[in-house]
Amino acid sequence: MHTLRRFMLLTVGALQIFVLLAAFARPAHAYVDPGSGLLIFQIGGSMLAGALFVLRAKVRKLFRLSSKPAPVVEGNNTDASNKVA
Amino acid sequence: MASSPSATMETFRDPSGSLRIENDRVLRKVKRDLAGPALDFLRSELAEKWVASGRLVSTMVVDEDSTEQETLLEHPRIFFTTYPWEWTPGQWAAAAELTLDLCESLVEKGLILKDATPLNVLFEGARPVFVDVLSIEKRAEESPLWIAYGQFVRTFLLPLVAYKYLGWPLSACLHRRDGYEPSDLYPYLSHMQRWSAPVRSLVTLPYLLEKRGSTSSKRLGLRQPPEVATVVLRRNLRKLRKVLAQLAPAERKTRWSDYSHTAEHYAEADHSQKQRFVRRALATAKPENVLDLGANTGVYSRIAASCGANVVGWDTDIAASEQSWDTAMEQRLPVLPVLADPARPTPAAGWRNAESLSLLERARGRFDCVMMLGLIHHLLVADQIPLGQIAWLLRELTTQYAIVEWVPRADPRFADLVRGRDALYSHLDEAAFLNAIDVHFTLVTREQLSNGRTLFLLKAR
Repeated sequence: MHTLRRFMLLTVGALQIFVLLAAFARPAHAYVDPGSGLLIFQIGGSMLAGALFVLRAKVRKLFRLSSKPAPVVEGNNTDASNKVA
Repeated sequence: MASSPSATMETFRDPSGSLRIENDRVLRKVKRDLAGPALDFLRSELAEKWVASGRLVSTMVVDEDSTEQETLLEHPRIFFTTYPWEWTPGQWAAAAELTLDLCESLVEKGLILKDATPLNVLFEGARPVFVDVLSIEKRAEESPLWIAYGQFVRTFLLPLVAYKYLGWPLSACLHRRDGYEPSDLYPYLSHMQRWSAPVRSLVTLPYLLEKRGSTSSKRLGLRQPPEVATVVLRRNLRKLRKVLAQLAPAERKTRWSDYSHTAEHYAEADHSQKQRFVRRALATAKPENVLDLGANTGVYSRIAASCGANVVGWDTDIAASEQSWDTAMEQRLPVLPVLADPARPTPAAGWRNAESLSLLERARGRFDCVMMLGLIHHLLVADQIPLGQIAWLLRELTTQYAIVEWVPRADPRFADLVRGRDALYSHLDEAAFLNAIDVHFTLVTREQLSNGRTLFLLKAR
């Protein structure tokens, strides 16, 4: 159990690194702006978190749509079947 | 203190205002066009709540229209200024937590902290207090970024990383006003450390990103819909809080489970006799402000606090000072432990050596009683300070009383320090001590303990 957890943590860590490095791959220059790494890291994390938030909201909305009150759903279905017919 | 020229030096780094200490008053000039949101915040309910809980310095408007562009504010003076390089790791983490707490509260109201450094926090007794009210500004609602994120990491978190993983003392930050960059730490961390949490996200990834991405940070930014930006910003702050919890010192129980309480050389009876004498001496002196030199775990600091005094304790031992601070926090005592060495007091620092005052300059004239218990033999032997100099320092540090414990040559702790060089210290006896003290103090009471040590209550001449 412990080994599995460790493995999963390492995988997630590696994925995090890969995504961030890939997202910000740019040609290297000689000058490195001090402190920019922390800013880039914050931006990367915020982009991911923002994307996840939006995605989660969409998924929730989808679930809410699919579990609408029965009469409405039935009515829609009837309409749809009528149209098909 | 207030009369010395450097004590009145005005701060100058923040373009939106400056602060000066003038005749014991703390006055802040504020440029209204640049500090509008901060001034609005100070009038808000949230500010009131924070001030009432003692976590934000209170502010009074002295003159709304001192000039057309400026407002003059006044803060109560925090009794004893300490700098981050004199804090224990626990105090450091508490100051960081306070900064995050305030920032999170501000975000709720559409505000944010524009900077985040330990220098914005002072300690009132054991409690951290946020003092830089001009750090508060209006938040750009489409930005999920905390502009002070980098500064928070550099000045609060990376010194804790360096302390925890590399053993670099927090006191080294005396020379690092803006903390550490990830690249300062990266080369010294092992491969395992670099990829472990939270070092991975504080040092390694920012370091690698910095090396790869060369776009000037000025051009970088991120905009999101306001509701998304707020959620993401809160998440960023929560992440920082989680990282801080990983770096903060472990619980007291763990730290102190193996700690052998000092003063093993003291029999229980001597202990209580010494404590009784100190209580009696404090009852005679009735001090308002006590300086406890060599405060150790703060046993006598707490006794002084229980007698109604406001106490500052200096000690060089991090673990002992941390315990003293933990206890004072837990029991809400007016005790402020400071990591400081009376034999090598913290120097002045910063621009023209006048931004941060030296330890002695901050202490001079502030205490009406100084306690020096179980310390004199360390100063005499380990630090090789002559008796006359010790008496002089005592006089400099107190306006009225001193409570001193004389440790004779025959004492096992004295002998430990001498390590066979008896001849060098053969002149050090109680008569020599009284002789040196006599220049500056008169003797009020004296009591010899059964372990041979002697306690004195002295009054300044």
